[in-house]
Amino acid sequence: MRRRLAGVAVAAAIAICGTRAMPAQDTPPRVIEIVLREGRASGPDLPAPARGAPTLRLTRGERVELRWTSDRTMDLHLHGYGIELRAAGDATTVMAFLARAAGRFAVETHDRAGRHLTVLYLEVHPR
Amino acid sequence: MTRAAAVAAIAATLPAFVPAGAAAHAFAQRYDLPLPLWHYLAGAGAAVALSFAAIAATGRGRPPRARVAILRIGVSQARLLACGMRGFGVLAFALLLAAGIFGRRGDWDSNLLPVAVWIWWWVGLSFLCLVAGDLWRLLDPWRTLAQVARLTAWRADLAPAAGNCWPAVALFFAFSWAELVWPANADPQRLAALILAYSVSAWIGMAVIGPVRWRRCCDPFARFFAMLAECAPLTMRRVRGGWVLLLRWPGAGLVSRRPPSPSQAAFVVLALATVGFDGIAETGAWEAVTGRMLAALYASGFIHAFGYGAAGTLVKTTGLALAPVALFAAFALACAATGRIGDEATGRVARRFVLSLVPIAAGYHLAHYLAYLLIQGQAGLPLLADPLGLGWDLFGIRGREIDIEIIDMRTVWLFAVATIVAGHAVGVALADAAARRAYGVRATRSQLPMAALMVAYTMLSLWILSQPIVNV
Repeated sequence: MRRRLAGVAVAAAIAICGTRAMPAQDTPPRVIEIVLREGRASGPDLPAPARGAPTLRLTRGERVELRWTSDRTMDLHLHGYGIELRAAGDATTVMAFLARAAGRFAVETHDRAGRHLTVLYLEVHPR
Repeated sequence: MTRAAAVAAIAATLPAFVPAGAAAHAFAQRYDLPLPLWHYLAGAGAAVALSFAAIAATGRGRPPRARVAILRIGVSQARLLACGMRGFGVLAFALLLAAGIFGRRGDWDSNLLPVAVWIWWWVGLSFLCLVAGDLWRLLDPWRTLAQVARLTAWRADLAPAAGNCWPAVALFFAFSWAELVWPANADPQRLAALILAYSVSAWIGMAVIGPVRWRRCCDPFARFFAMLAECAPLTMRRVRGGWVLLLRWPGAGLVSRRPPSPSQAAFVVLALATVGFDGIAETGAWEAVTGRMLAALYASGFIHAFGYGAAGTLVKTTGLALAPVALFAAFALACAATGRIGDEATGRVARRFVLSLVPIAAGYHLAHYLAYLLIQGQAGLPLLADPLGLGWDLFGIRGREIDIEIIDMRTVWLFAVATIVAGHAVGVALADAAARRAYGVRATRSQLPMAALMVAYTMLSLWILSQPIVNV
């Protein structure tokens, strides 16, 4: 009985530590192409929602590269991770990060009136 | 007189509400993942099981009076502690106002005042009061400064009757509007202006009818935090030789010998509805409703005349106004059914049972805001290093970033289901006790409508948490 309890305790400890473990550095990042047309995001990996911005599902611990192509120049801001960059009409901009925290994070842009528009939601799910 | 004071308080602040040229920045977002399906089902199942258990249980309906004394403090120690808290409240109040007036403007997290008011105070203090009792009573700067100025009732006869707290209801609605709808609530100078205007009106009110009557009838914050504190498992009691800290069953403070008055019941319904609307306003369903209403306003020419900002504000204000109406309608329906079985007027039933809804809302409030408080609440820390925007770096935390990993999502989900189910359990126990006390033999049947309402309310809370957050 005591041995079984010890086994359960060890397994629990490993499980708890395991939720914080990150993958090895040499796994290639997941690359996602996103095309912004008139402020609407679309891409081969994105579901097409009926209304509103699409949601991209990621797993915690993944290395991610979002490659943005836009028909207009827009400032993009990934909330939570705090990544800001400018997507221009001519080049592809890359948002590369480690999805270290689980949650639902919006990628927003500002239109001319200063209103925030969400172009994409990133859902990082626990493993 | 106090109603006029409340109206004057609101009117004096109207210029501050005119939106700036560019529409305001969104306030802090929540990063919560939607509650997974099996958490939702487990929570709903537990709620239904608890309701059945409560109805099937036998008992005479006396609420558990068990209280355990944890800590005793002497009179002088208590006085010191109280003075310390009062002083802290006043100093914090003054510092925050100064930060709002003189500090940096920009994003929602550029200035200490909006972060401290909307996250640390409104959310953080509500969490503390749900656990540790009515701390606001001591921290309240308006009360402390009124006591320091020795404000006594100049015209006590102008005070509303003892049970009448309609001014508080009106002011709470105005505050909820400022919290949930007002586009400029992250603007530190406007927020400081609003706080100053309210402070002046509150002190005038306290000077006229006395601080005690003002807090009882007109002060929405005193009523709100006191309501939350009644759910708390900890409370202080005055005994001979000092004070004692008691541990009691959560929600035990909501059991009162006298049922609340109609206006007190209305306050509870309003508070619960605004807490719920806060969550509903972030769902995709509300986004769809907003879209339809904006389309209708566009077609009618409203947007052409007043702009998108005003239209969005109008839509959200309508939602905020309809939320308490909807909750009241559902509650009144359940009370009418209960009254028919228990042979009591609907109004009396409503007043008897309204407080048993508070724990359900409290559980939802804790579930909804835990991650927000821990993650976005950190935004205030670097602002403490330089509250007045003078280039200081107190405590060396000026460049501190928010740590979004501070709490694991699985922990948040478990906590959410636990607090919602616990809130439901407490609510159901309170309603059961109230029904047994009132209806005796018919208690079992009479509980069915209220149990159905509570299960629906808990399911709504779980549904809100399971919806992906949409930033409208």
